[in-house]
Amino acid sequence: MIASSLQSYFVISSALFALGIFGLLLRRNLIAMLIALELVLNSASLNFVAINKFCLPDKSLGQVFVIFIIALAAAEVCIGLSLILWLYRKKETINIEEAKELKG
Amino acid sequence: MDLRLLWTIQLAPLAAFLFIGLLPRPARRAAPLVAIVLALTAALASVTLFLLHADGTGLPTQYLHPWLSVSDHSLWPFVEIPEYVLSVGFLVDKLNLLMITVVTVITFFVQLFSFYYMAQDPSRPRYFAFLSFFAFAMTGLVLSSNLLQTFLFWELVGLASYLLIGFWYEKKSASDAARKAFVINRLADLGFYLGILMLFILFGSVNFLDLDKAALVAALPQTTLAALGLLVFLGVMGKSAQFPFHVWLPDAMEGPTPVSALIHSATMVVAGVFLLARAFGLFASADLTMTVILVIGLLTASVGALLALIQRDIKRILAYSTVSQLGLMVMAVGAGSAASGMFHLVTHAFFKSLLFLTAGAFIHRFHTNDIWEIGRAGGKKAHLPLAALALGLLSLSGIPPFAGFFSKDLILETLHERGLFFYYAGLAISFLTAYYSFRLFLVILRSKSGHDAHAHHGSFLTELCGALPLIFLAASSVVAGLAGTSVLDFKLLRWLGGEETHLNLEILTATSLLIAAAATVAFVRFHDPEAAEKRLTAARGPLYAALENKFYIDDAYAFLVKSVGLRLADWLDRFDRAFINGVLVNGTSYFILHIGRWLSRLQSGLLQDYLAWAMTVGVAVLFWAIQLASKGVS
Amino acid sequence: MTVADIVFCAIAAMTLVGAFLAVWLKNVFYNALGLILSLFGVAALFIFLDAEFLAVVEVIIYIGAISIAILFAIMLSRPWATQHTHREPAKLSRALISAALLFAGLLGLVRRTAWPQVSSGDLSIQAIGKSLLGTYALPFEAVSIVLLVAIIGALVISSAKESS
Repeated sequence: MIASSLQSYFVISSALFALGIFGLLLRRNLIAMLIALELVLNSASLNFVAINKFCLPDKSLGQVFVIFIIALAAAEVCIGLSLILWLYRKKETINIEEAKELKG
Repeated sequence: MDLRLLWTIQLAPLAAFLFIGLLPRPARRAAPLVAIVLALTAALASVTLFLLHADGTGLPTQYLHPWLSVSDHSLWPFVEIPEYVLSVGFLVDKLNLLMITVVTVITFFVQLFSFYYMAQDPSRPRYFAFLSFFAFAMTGLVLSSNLLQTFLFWELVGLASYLLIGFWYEKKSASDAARKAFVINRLADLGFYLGILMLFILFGSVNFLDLDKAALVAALPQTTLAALGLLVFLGVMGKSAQFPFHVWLPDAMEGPTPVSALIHSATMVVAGVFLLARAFGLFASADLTMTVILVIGLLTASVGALLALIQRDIKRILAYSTVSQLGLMVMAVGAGSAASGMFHLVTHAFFKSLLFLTAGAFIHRFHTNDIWEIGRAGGKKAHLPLAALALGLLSLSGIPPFAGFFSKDLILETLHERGLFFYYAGLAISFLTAYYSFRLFLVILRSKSGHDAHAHHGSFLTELCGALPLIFLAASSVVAGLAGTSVLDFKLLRWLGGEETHLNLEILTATSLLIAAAATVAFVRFHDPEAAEKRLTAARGPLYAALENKFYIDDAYAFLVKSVGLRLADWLDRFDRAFINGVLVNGTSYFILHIGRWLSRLQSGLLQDYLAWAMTVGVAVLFWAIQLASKGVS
Repeated sequence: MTVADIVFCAIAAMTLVGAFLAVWLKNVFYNALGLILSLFGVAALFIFLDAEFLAVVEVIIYIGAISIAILFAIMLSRPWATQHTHREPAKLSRALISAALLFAGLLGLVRRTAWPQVSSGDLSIQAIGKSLLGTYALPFEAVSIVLLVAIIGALVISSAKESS
């Protein structure tokens, strides 16, 4: 069964991860990068839950971990968006390629 | 007892040097006294030492102290030596004792004479300090036990010579001459040093007592021995003014005359001949070396004698004469007899220093070096110097019964045994020697003095100091020769390792005829010095030009230095600037700068660039590490 | 190929398509919508994996709070967001290659590992509750502090005056 094989979930989560990295490397808009970052976090969560079901003896561990992931993602998005908006207010742009102060 | 005497001889002059240097300004006037007293001490110590060993027992002895020890035996791939220790110390043997006595005694008399000669000179303390320093270095050279130690003192003696030739350093000609002497000596010493090093490496020892002809021949092949001998002979050539390194000696006459008497006739320049006798085993071990020594000696003797023929300056005449006599000594050694070379060294030391001091007396009195001017100023009325001059010149010409006759006779015998060509050459040089000696004497004697001799008398003490050395050295010039004859039972010859000789009638007649002929020719040409002078100044012609320009040797050196040396230096300078500085140094920094700039482009400041690096290279490294770890686990 | 499998494949496809839209489209609003689609898919996959609570939490928090916040931010930075910019091919290919390599690497790694299979265990929400307030009480409290700090931080940043 595809649905009950661990490998298929890995395929999906690897693909999600790759897509997330792709988005991080491609997009210039900060918010778009944040969205891609969310994809990466989700792929990790999927991994945890899949392994939780198939490999872990203590079946609550994986889920607890994903709860934490989601909570932290929320915190991160909260701060991130405030920063982005503040940045937008200051510089009128949220193009990451404008942030070149550390060049050299 | 021996050791104490040796230390006295070695350190007394050094003490004089240091003491004079440390004297406070008001006490500087005591400098000559210090120097003379300590020189006398050294001389007395030498004589005592000589007398203690007069019967020759207990010689040779060494007093050594280990200095460097080398335990890495891979340095000597050619010879098996269990352990090598380089020592420093004193060597006492017959050759040394004779030489040190001669050196210290003449040094004392020259110092005494300097009190008279340098009486008016404001830099007198510096003079006596340097002269004492020279004595220290010369003593060290004579008493040293191995080649390396000799080399050390050899260089110090060269330094003393430089300081003394350039004593009146404000005079450009004097400082130039000092530099010339030093540079030529240094150049020659390069060969000397290479020779010592190679000897050390190939043979394993530089101790004189180890340099036995048989041992060397057994240890090394002929070509190597020849190379070693020639390299060390290069040093001899420099120090003893052999052709073509003789050019510094005439110029060295810029120094004060007592310096010329001591250093450039009696002691320093003969250090080379002394070394030839000292390390005779090394030179005798290869036939090629001996032949080269003989030929160079011949060239030197000829060039010296020829150039003395047309000089006006009394010191120059004597300087070229010294060159010529040194050549004779070297020839004698090259012909196989170190004893005859050393015998002539001893007699020459006495009569040549006498001659130079006489010249000093004339120069001091008449304030000129030119022999015609001395004659005109009333040279013949200076009785003591004139008499001393006569005795010295008689000895130089080789007229019996003066010292020079016996030693030169012995040399001619040695040359006769070596080969007729060299014998005839020796005779020719004797002829020339007699000729220029008589020329010198006749010009001074027969010149009409137009005005009264400038009688300038210093204090009685000063005049005495001027006179005593002349008397003593004159006496020695007469007596010293007899020590090599049957009168004193060939004592000197036996001492030097030679054999008794009988008067060779053939040589005796040949030399007597030649001297007579030379005297006649000289008389014919110079009985009227004024006419002769006119002839001299009017003389032209290629032969005269060659002699006047010293056979263009100095010009050759100048050419070598300018056109070869300086050009090479210029090329090297440009090469250094363009390649080493431009390509290597600047190029490297430019290259690194550019690499830095190129690498700094990695720091674009863009987040996504860094992220791309991390996600590819970083993750790849991570995977590789995981793979390694998993291999370790499984 | 059972019905479950077909549904599974559909949901997987939905997830991946949503993810693709989330990164590829130029309009950032559409990206956010793609993200929401993908998150729905992930929630469904959680149900497949017997983690129903997590699925619900995912929908409520991730989609209901986080994504909405993202939408808010998009709206507040609208003018720039609607600009359609040109994508540099160099950058695109770099991103593509990196992502492809990563995907391949991860898959390879995963396939090579011998996963220990343990199927028995309590997946229920009671178990989660017990763990959260029992064994993992410390991380639980720490995360609450993190959330508190995040709230305070967001307040501080957004109330900062213009001139600073």
